[in-house]
Amino acid sequence: MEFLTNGTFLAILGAALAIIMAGVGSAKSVGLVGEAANGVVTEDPDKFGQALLLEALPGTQGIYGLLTGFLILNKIGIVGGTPVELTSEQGILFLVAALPIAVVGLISAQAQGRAAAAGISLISKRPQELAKAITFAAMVETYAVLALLGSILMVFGINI
Amino acid sequence: MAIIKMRKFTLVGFEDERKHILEMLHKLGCVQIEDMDPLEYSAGIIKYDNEKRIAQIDVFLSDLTKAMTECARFDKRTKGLFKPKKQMSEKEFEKHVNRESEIFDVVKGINETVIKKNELQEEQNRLNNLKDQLLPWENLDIGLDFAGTQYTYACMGTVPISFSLDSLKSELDLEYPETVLTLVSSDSSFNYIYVITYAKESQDALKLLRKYNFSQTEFKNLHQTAQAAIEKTVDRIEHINKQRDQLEKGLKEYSSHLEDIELLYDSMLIEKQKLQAASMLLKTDMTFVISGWLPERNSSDVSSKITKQAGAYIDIREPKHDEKFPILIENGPLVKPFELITELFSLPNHREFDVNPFMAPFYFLFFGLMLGDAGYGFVLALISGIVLFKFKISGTAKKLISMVFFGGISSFLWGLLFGSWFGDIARQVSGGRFTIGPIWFDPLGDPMKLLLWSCIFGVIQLYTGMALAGYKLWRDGKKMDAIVDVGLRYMYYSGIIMLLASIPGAFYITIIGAGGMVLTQGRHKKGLGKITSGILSLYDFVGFMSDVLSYSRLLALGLATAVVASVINTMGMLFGFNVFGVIVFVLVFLGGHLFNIAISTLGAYVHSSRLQYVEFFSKFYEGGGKPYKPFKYDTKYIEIANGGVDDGILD
Repeated sequence: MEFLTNGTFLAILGAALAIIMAGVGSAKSVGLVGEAANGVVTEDPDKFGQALLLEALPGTQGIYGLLTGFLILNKIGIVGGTPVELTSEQGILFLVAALPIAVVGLISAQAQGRAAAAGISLISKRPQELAKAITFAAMVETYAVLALLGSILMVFGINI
Repeated sequence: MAIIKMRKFTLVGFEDERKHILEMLHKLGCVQIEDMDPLEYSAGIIKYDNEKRIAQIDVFLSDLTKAMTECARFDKRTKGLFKPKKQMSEKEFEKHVNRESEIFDVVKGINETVIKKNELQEEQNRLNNLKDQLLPWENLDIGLDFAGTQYTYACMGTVPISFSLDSLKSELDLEYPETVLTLVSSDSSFNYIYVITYAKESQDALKLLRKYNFSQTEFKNLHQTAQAAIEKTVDRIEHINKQRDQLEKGLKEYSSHLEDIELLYDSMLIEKQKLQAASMLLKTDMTFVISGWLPERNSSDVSSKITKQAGAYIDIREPKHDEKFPILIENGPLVKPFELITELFSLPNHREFDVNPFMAPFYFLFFGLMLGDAGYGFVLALISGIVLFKFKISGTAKKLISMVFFGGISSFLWGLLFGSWFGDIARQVSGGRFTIGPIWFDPLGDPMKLLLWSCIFGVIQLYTGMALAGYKLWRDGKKMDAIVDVGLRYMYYSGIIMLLASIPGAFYITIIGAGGMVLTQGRHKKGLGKITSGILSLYDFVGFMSDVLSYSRLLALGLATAVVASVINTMGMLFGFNVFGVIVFVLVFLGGHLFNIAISTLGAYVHSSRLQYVEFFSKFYEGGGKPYKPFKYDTKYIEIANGGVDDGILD
């Protein structure tokens, strides 16, 4: 169990968590919105563009997760540099820094997915109100953006 | 620059001139007709009943659409996302419309052809099925409907392959030795057999056969042998194919009339609009009355034309206090694209001013900041610029594309300031020897600085929103409210911000602002509420701060674009400088950055809009205005040049 105190392992674990959890959240909810979108497009194929826009919205959390993961990997030199020897303490700091986007990303993506899926049923009846459907879904994204910001600032702030 | 002033008009004319006058208004294209309620007037004043005719036109329109979709695959005319409507003068248009009956024949022809084609298709499907059923019996040289003679009984049928035919045969031999069982053919699931037995034994023999899951096959009305029947079916299928080819050719010929059909569609659409307009006005036996709205600048023109060219009376007046008039907004070319953002939210109501000139600069700045890459900005501006330049687009599409164009320029400028060109492409490709430096600073190197600036931009926009709220109060004569509600808040908020920045004197400003708010914010309450509401109003600062922090998304999305871009560059460089590496680099570069542009532009659009809607508009904006929809040529395929009429509102 020595690897549990290995700084580099802990940092990579953080990066992996950010990518996995935010990615899982996005994948689930993009799928959910996609199902709803298929229903609407069956009725009216012209709504493809609008539905696609709504489907893309909950996909951003996955990108935020990847971004945080990449920042960590970049900072510890795994990607684009020479790997740095990390103390266990530094490793834990990176792990903690990844948590905001990992957890908030997972949950906010699913909440946003439900909002966007409801938006799909809105545009099925009132296609001219697309902007409102997008805005409702985007309200949820605020918290993913804030979590991303928190994670980024933490990663930037860790001294190595 | 503003909301266009509207005038209410009421037009009274003679019934026999109604058609003429409606046509004139339609051509003028600048009046919006209001639905009038006969119940507000005395008896004898009624509405036109056009519903039957409108329903009839709807049927025609759907016939035309059907015909057009059927012919669309033969359409050889160039198609494109931004294909402009064909332009046509009014005279030309009317000439075509005179050929109405001829075009209707074409449409009828198309729709009949399609019905015939579908019928043939159905028959063909049926024949194909029959053929499949007949094929296993091809070698049977007995008529298909042969059922036996006076003393014999004959039948055909299938036995599943899982039942042994040999044991069936031996059982039959044992019990009914005179029975003949012939195997005609077999495939992967069935044995096809022909059975002849004594007529009087037939029922018992069948019982035995059924033990082996025998199922009888019958072809009614087929007297010939299977082979002959198959030949006949194949002949018929071929014949149908020929017929279908013929019909297809016919359709192709018809499709050369597509443009005529489109014309007819538009002319029916126009007729429908006229009928709908007519159904909104009121009439007596001899006269009719229309009312509605028109822009002030068109009012003298419309009134002189109506009085000169028709014997009608028209009254034009200013809207009464608080009377809701339709909203038409006009702005210069720099602000116009951003009207789209407001339109998607809600138009200003009749008491408000046009918010777009105040909103547009912020939208421009924020959109660009969230993309924040010179390369991406250049690509966006280039693509949207080409679309704007090459295609004659109008309306919402034009606004959207122009908005992307401006957003691209803004992103380009921010990219210059931040030194971001497709992320860090220069550094990556040159292996760190060469970088394009920022004019201002690199947000990746000092994110806190950009976070601070994001908040400062937020404060500026929120202060602007508060100022507009104050202006509204001031304009409505509530000058005291404007000073107390907005002025004191300015002092209080600014004081705290200055305290945070440790600027001397800040403490006193905060105290004056806060004290003023405690004393005034409860002024509409009674008793103790005066004090508590005053004190509670100090908590507004928390809401203000959360609004300000919401602008941190400017930083977050900007960083997201930059970091994803550098991820793409890093991935592209993974294989180094060799032939394979360069190919990978080019592919990753094109695909990756295109993806990042798409997703980041969507993010920039969504979040810039949100900042306007939720943070900015909530400070002062009411919205709820109804858009101005003039009664004009509103066509789908043909743009009719409005010869001779003023340039008016035709967008």
